[in-house]
Amino acid sequence: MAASTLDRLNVGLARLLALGTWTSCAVIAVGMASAPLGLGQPWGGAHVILSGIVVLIALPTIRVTMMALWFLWNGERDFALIAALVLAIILASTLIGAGAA
Amino acid sequence: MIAAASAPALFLLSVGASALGGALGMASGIFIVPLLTMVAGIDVHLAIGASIVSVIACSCGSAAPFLNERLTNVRLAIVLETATTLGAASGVLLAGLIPVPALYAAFAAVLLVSAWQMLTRRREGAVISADAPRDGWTGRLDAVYPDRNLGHEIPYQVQRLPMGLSLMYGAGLLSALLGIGSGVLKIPAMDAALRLPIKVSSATSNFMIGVTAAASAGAYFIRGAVAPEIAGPVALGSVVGALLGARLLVFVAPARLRIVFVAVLLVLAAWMGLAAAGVRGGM
Repeated sequence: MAASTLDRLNVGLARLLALGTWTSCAVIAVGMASAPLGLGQPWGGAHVILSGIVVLIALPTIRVTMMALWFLWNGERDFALIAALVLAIILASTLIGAGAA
Repeated sequence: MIAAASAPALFLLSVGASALGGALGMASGIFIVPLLTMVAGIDVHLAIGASIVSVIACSCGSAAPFLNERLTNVRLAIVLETATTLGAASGVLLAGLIPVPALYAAFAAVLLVSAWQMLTRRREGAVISADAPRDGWTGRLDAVYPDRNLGHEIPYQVQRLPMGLSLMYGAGLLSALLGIGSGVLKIPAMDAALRLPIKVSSATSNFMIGVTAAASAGAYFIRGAVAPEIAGPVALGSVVGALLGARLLVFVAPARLRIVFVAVLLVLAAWMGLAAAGVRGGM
């Protein structure tokens, strides 16, 4: 595998993670700042903060999906399968864990 | 008790914890849960829920420079993530069964191990350099990383993968159970078992922490353990603190900071240990 191809994956992942973190932090900040102003839904309070948190929790899963697709696209089926396995474990952990409470 | 901790107070608490951790290249997660439970008087499960979200934020927020500099081994990361996420899934299932005093005791132990790790500096182990690419599947995990001091690229081989995977399972379990990034186990696994260069293991461990944390955060979110009024300010404060911490390094001597860090870890360990024994003293 050419190093430059892997570099492109690295740069793509870096962009995704940075953009995702800043987006979610901005949403959380808006939610927090709007609370003292007494803004109601949909612009203020807990559920704005909650949507920022959802973006944050989803971000690593999006990152693994991006890696799975990249491996598939570059003909590395074994690594694509490993990434798919990680996705399946995250999904199972979320569903089973939530159900077990 | 939650009402006693306002959003600005939680935000500032997290900035402080994360700045101190960030200045020494350590995740703030280790401070967040003890501070939230012992200082802010927040329920331990809500504290873990808030901490695990902040762990994701710090991992994702700091990943870009390591990826761009090619220090992160993404292939190795995805392989090890099968073990960390499986560990996290086990941790999520265990979390509901383990009594709170046992959680405090486990936390006290992790704090003590972290203090010990802080005192004994990481040394560069015998990194196996790869002159010729190895055949087979594991050979594709080998990579090169750029060394700025030497000015050229250094190839390395990944050693003892099964041992690394077992340690990663344990790291994932601890991460989910205690709401931490679990560098305590990841770093020895990468240094000692996989024999990676320090910069590669730090970058790859940091990259994996977000995915590991996400495997438990989703479940805690659905369980209702991620309270927006706590997790929001803590996540935001941790990201801001991590940014400040990296700059703090320029102004403060690392040796002095290390002493402060160890002292804080020991105080929190003692405090959590007492709480585990049933002596609960709030501030």
